[in-house]
Parts: sequence; C-alpha cells; structure tokens
Amino acid sequence: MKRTRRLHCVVHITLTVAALSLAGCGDAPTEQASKDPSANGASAQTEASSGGTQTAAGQDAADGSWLSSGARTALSADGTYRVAWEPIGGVIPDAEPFAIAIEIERVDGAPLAADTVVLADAEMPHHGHGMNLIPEVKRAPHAGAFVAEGMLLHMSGEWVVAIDVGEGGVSERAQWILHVD
Amino acid sequence: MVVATLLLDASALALSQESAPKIARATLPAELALLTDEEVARIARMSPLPPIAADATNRFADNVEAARFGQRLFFEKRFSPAGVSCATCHDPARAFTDGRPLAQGIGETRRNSPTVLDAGRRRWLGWDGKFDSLWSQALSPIENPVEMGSDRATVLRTIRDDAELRTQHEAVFGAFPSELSSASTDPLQVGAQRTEAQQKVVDQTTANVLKALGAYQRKLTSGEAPIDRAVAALKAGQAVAASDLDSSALRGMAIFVSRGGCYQCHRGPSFTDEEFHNLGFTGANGRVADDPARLAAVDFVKANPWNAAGAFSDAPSSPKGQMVRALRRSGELFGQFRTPPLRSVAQTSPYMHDGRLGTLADVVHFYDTLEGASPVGHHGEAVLEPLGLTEAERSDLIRFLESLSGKTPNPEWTRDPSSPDARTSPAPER
Ligand code: HEC
Ligand code: HEC
Repeated sequence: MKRTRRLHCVVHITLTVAALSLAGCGDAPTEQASKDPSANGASAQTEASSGGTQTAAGQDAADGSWLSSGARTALSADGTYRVAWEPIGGVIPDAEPFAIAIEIERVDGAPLAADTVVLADAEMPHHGHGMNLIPEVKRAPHAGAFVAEGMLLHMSGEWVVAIDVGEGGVSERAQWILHVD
Repeated sequence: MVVATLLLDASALALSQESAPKIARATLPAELALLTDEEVARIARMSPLPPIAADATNRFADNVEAARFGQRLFFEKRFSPAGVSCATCHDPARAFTDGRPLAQGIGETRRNSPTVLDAGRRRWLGWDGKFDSLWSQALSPIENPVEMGSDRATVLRTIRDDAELRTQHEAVFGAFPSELSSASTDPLQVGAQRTEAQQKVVDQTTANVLKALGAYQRKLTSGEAPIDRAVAALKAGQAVAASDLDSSALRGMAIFVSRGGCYQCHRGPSFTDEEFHNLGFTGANGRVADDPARLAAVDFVKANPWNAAGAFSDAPSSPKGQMVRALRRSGELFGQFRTPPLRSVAQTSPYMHDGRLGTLADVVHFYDTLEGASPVGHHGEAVLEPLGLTEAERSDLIRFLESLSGKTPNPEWTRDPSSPDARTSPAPER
C-alpha cells in the first residue's frame, strides 16, 4: 500500500529580485544572457511554507544530486516518484520570470523512461488563476534532471507549484505550497 | 558540468544580494510601527527605481542619435492627414497624457491614454499588454484609423522627402534605401502596388523608424520622487522629512502595504507586477465586463509579426521572445488589464483603462466600496473586498499616492525639437 504523510514545514527563504536571465543550461544562445527589460532590482524576505505530500526524510536532495541541499522535495501523489526542485539562481524573484531545476527519481530505483513527460506549473487556488506563462520543460544532462523555464509567480499570496511526471500515459503530480510576499 | 557551475555562480550572486539595505524596526516612525516585518520589507522594495534595463530586441535602443531622431518623429504632425502626432495624446505638458477619459485622435478610441513616462520599463505595453516591446507598439497608433490614420509608406515618404528628417534618418540607419527612392512609379505613393521585395524593404525601414521612437521613449524616465527620499531615509534609520512624506502619507503607505492589499498587485519600485488582473468593472451593459482585454491581446501579440520573437526583432530568441511564445491563453484572461504603474499617478488623471474614474479620490473610493464592479464572479480577482476605510484613511491613501511622482525628465527630451526655440540649441546628451 502506498502511504503519503502530510507534513508541514516552514522554511525561511530569501526572495531576491535579480535581473534574471532565463538562460538555464549553458546551451542558450547569447542573447539569453541579456536582462529582461522590466527587471525590478529589489529584494524581498519572505516565508515559504512547503506542505503537500512529503517524505519525512525527503527534505534533502539525495546524494549525487545536481540540486543543492535546500531543494524542495516531495513524493508524487501515488508515491511513485520523488521529485525535487529549486529555482536556478537559488531564489525565486519577485514578479519576474525564473527557471527551476528539477530532479526526478523513481522510488523503486528503476530508471526513468526515456520518453518521460514532465510538466511544471503553478496556480493560486484562492484567486482561481495560475501563471500567465506555460513553462517549457527540457531534459538536462544528468539522470532524472529537467529544467523548466518561464515560471512566473506574479502576485503575492499562496501559490501551489505542481510538477507532473508522466510515463506510459499515466501521470502523477507532486505539489508544494509556497507563500510569495 | 556546465549546469552545476552555473548554479554555483548564481547562488553566489543571490547571497551577495541579501545584503540589500533593509529598514530597521527600531527606527520606524510611529505611523509604521504596527506593520509586520513582511510589510516593512515591502516598503524597502519601493525604492530605488533601477535604471531601465537593456532591450535586446532593439539594437538602436540606447543609440542617442536614434533617440534624437525618435524625438523629432514623436512630435511630427505631417504623418497624419489630420495632423495628429504621438504628442497629441502623450503631451509632455500633461506628463505625456491628454487628460481625457478616452483618447481622441482622428476619432475617439476605446482606451485612455497612459503616460509614456517610464514606458521603457514595461514588460507588456498597452492596458491589455498587446505589445511586447516599446518599439513595436508605435506602429499601432500610426496605422490606427482613429488615432493618426496614417500608414508606414506615408511615414517613410515624409521622411524621404524632407531634407532634415532624411538627414537624421541617414545619420543613424545609413543611406535611405534606393528601392524606395527612384523608379518611375513611387513605391511609397498612396495606393502604390509594391513588389514583395519592395514591401520587405518598406517593413524593414519601418522597423528602424519604430526603433528610433523606442529609443526616444526610453529617455523619458521619471526622476527621484518623495517616496525615494523617504525610503532612503528609512533605510538609513533617519526620520522621514515631512516635505517628502508627512504623517498622513506615512499612514497611507501603511494601508497600502497592509490591509489595503494594494501591494499584492502594485509591487516593487514601479508599483506594478507587470501582469494582468480583472478588477471586475462592469461593461457598457452595466453588468459584466465586455472588453476581452488580455484574452484578445495574448492572441494578438503571439501572432504579431512585429513581436519580440519575429523577423524584425533584433533578438528573437531572447528571454522576451521566449516569453511571448510561452504565453498562456485561457478564458480567465477575459477582462484582465495590466496593473498600471503608479509612479507619476497624480499627474495622469483620469484613471483606469477607459478613464472611468476622474480623480485619485474616485479610485480610492472604488477600492473602498467596489462600487461599479460586478460581484466577484469567476473572472474577477477574488482578492478584492471592499476596504471600508474611514474618511481620514481614504485621504491618507490619496496622500501616499501623491508622493509617488518624480521630477519630470530632462527638458531637452520633453520638447518638440522642431519648434523654433529648440532649433537654436541642439539637445545635449543626458
Ligand atoms: C489618439 C491618441 C494617441 C496617439 C496619437 C498615440 N497614442 Fe500612444 N496610446 C494611446 C492610447 C489610448 C494608449 C493605450 C492603448 C491600449 O491600451 O489599447 C496608448 C498607449 C501607448 C503606449 C503604451 C504605454 C504603456 O504604459 O503601456 C506607448 C508607449 C505609446 N502609446 C506611444 C505612442 C507613440 C510612440 C505614438 C506615436 C507614434 C503614440 N503613442 C500615439 C493614445 C495615443
Ligand atoms: C488585484 C490586483 C490589484 C489590487 C489588489 C489593487 N490594484 Fe490598483 N489596479 C489594478 C489594475 C489591474 C488596474 C487597472 C484596471 C483597469 O484599468 O481596468 C488598477 C488601477 C489602479 C489605479 C489607476 C492607475 C491609472 O493609471 O489609471 C490606481 C491609482 C490604483 N489601481 C491604486 C490601487 C490602490 C490604492 C490599491 C489598494 C487599495 C490597489 N490599486 C489595489 C490592480 C490592482
């Protein structure tokens, strides 16, 4: 039987608004290094509460991970995948686009199928809307690694970040609750 | 591995930014003393206004000669059969607006004229964000029959046939294209049949003209405002000068970042999230909104051949180009308008996309009561609730909004360069 445990942990992170480049993984054309014209240039301190279904031990990304130890980790709804992500650059910028690095592993230790489909998204359940961009998810050069570009949490309030992992036509979702100030 | 290196560099950057000046609780004035740390941090983020970021899609964006040429074009009346110029609706004497509820060119438009001050900071241009760059926006008023009622060939013909404009054009972009000059039948004449090759040159030359208008408008930035001096004082642990924010304005600031809820959308130093929301304004039928706004704009900007990802962009694969391709189309966009920036807001009445609210007092009355908004349905923002402020609190909020206006830009950039007094002294570089 699959078991998921509900666990509430509150993580203090610093949101820094930097002139952010969407350039994710080194293979970007040169223009990608240029800054978005509307970059804000301020910084925010906020509290991010991460809830949803989580493994108690899953707070640190596994050894050999390409993510830092601060990556958020959760099990997907049916417990098939352990999914971790973090914003590239370490911080989620205020009302500016950003990219996230994602790492997915099967809990049973089997490798991910080559044609695994990964979607990243976020919505504001209390406002009835989500992000204004559809993030583009690409494979990254590391086992189980992906990058989603074009995340944009434009409002303060509660956001639910969702990562869907699909193999063989079946999809499972891992989610996190974030508080954006 | 490349990825790992990038991540390391980036987190080093993040760490260095944590040292951005904060506001110490101990030295807060009494008006702000009850704010939470989170709310105080919002105040710290209101200033300073950073420099306008580069625009990779316009390679002339920071070319001063292009900006001077653009300035000339901004005030040029001869493009339009009715003598309408950009400055007709974006009048420098009125903080680059026209003071009317709905803009009036050859006819009346459906929208209020926003200021072009700080337009170079916007992620999306127009109330519904129909354009993704400052330069590409400029084609629309030129060719709109109720605005200037002109067309690109007329603009190019006017430039080609005027010695002064042509010289300025050529100083930036090189010789005027010969394809558009000679020939027995003028390819720029009204109704002229153009070959595909000629049309291509017309469009490319038009893109240059638009980019000059973009370069000019990037010079129009609002200067230091009372809010900037106040936030700087707070960060330095000093008293806020009453000449900047008096006690009433400070109380208004506290409402803005706390129970007023304004900061949720009007955030950061420009007081905008650069994105879109539906305040629930009812349309002409008095019940539901009837302007598709952002929903139509997303379709438009994605399909627009002049967009940041298109053939006339100088950086089609830049983050902006990627962003346009990634725009989500969904029903909830119906009736959404861009959160307007609030810098200079005291100078830009009337307010809202259709100019329906005449004064800042009317705007505050709206947020206080939500009168004129349909009950929050599935399209409206569920965040908005009548605030129920006292009369004193309403005037505090207005007072705060009045503290956001900065100095007007360098007068060299705000005047009509073709007017006789301007001709004698060429604009020095700012
Ligand atoms: C007839 C009046 C009129 C004229 C003429 C006009 N505009 Fe505008 N302008 C408007 C209106 C109305 C809007 C808002 C349009 C919308 O949201 O649909 C606008 C929007 C803009 C914006 C977007 C500002 C923002 O904050 O998003 C810019 C920039 C701009 N105009 C520049 C120009 C330039 C450059 C010209 C000349 C080529 C020009 N305008 C001519 C009325 C006018
Ligand atoms: C849900 C996001 C949101 C919140 C919260 C919000 N605003 Fe707005 N604001 C907007 C949008 C969107 C518009 C433009 C609406 C339109 O034109 O239809 C706007 C327009 C305005 C304008 C008119 C600006 C102009 O140039 O026409 C002012 C002033 C303003 N808001 C102030 C406030 C204040 C003060 C508060 C808090 C009491 C507040 N707003 C709360 C999104 C928001």
